[in-house]
Amino acid sequence: MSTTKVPRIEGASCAPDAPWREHDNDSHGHVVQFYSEDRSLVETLGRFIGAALGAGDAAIVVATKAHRDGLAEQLESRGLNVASAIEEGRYISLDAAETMSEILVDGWPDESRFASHIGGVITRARSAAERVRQSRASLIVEPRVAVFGEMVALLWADGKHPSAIRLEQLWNDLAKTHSFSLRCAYPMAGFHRQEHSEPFLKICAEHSAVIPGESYTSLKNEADRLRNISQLQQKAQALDAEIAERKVAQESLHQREIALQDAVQHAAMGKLAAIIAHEINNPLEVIANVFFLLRDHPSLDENARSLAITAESEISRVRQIANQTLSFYRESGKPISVPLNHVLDSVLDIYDRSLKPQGISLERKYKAHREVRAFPVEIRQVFVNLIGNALQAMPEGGVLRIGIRDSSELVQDSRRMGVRVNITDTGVGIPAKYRDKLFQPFVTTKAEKGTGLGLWVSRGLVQKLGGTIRFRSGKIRGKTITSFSVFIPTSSEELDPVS
Amino acid sequence: MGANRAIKSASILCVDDEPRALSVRRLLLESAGYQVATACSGEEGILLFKSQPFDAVIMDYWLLGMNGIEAARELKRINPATPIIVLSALSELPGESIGAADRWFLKGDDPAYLLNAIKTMLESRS
Repeated sequence: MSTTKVPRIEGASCAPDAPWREHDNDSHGHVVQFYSEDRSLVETLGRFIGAALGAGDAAIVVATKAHRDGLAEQLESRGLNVASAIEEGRYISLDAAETMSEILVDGWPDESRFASHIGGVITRARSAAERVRQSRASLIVEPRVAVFGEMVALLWADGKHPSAIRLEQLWNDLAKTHSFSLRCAYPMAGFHRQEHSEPFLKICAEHSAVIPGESYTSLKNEADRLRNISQLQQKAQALDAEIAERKVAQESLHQREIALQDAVQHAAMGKLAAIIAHEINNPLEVIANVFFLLRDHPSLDENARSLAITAESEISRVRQIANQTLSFYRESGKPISVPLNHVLDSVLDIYDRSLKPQGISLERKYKAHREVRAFPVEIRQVFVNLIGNALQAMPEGGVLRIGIRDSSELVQDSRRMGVRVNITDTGVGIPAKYRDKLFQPFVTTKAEKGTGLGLWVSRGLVQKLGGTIRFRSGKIRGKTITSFSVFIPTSSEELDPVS
Repeated sequence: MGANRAIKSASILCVDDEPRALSVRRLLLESAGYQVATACSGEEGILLFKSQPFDAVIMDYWLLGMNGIEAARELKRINPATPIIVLSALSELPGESIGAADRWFLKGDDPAYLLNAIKTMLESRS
């Protein structure tokens, strides 16, 4: 059986148990440790600082009070005389928060303050170690300085992530002019969110080595560590997949919230529109009836009659604009089954008196068997608009054809079944310049007679039902034919890709 | 208006709780040659409908008390053959109203449309 060579893991050379002067051949080493338990950090620090002090080197600790107290206990338990080292000046223990207040300006690490303050501490500690070396005629050629710094962790915990990264960079800058071995530590709990991934990588990039959390470093052999890495990779992959799923779910939820807000807003607008329509249409009916009676009243002369007719026409305009505008905000419940032939007949009823005088003949072909679900008033309005337009397009007479038939439409990979209504006239046609913008608001081919809202509103109402509306206008055998086609879906089915 | 005078003797019951609208609508219908009776509520309209025959009914939708659709249903129960037109100042009617009325119109629509519809309905009955 062949043995597999276990690859060297980055950071392993900086494992907590490695001897101080043997492993740390890089005097500018800047190591970061991530930990889960304070106890674990303190033990690691005990070995790091203890090794330095035990070797006659200098040590500086810039940490919280709890960590400094824990470390002091650790050092004492290792047989080190902490008080003596402090007295000698080669062990300097500083409070992280107090030290940080010396070097921050408006929450941001100040380069000169940091270099002056921390650089001064390092120099003092080194000098003290040098003095001790000389007094003891130590074999150590050049004293070294071990530094543990926790200010970055405080900044991170405070949410000042850019400041923490900046402070790491200042430590690296200081290492160019001062010789020391630096260790930083962050609690792993501070990196629990997805958005921490990027700054986490930045922190790692500012260090020459990374010591993973104790769930990894406590493992005794390489095989266990590799197993651990594999497990972590699997977890990371699973988490990535879950994050992706959550993002999709969140987006879907967000879309639903927007739709709900729209629906609530639409319902509120619907109530308001109903009130406005009621308040406008009631007096409008009285006024319309009065002018209708007035225009043929025998007491009026021609001028007065003409004025009454003008007023009647303008009232009609007000009515159209009010109803077209408010139609978008009708307070509708669910669409109901609507017999389209009845709707079209009722619309043709109101135009019936215009047909003969205008010389228009009407042809109806009702062949639909499917039921359409719609909002009766809205769908009626669509056909009032389309038939009204067709009649206005035939001032010299012509033919109005109304056709209803079962039909279908292809939409991407599905075929939608439904009913199609064609309204065709032999009128003046639609000039080419209007064709691209015919369904835009305030576009009219009828000059001052049109509001320019009818087709725009009609399209909105048809689209509300999931339907489509389109038109053709052109010459066939010398006659101008214009046809509007309204498709209202009843159901849809997936298309077989093979067929 | 002459074209709307085909059914001169027809009698129409007109129901609305707005007195001014009711009186003007009455004038409109009378100008077209119809005999008009008026009622200010659905309940009053039903009583009148029971007391004498009418050829058609024009009912306001939004009435105080019994609404126009409820009243129309009751009239249809009494005499299904009498055509009923519902007028509404709202631009939307509830779906159930579709079956209760033979025709409905928006208030403010051209009065000629209403007269034309009445004429067509009465002619189709005769």
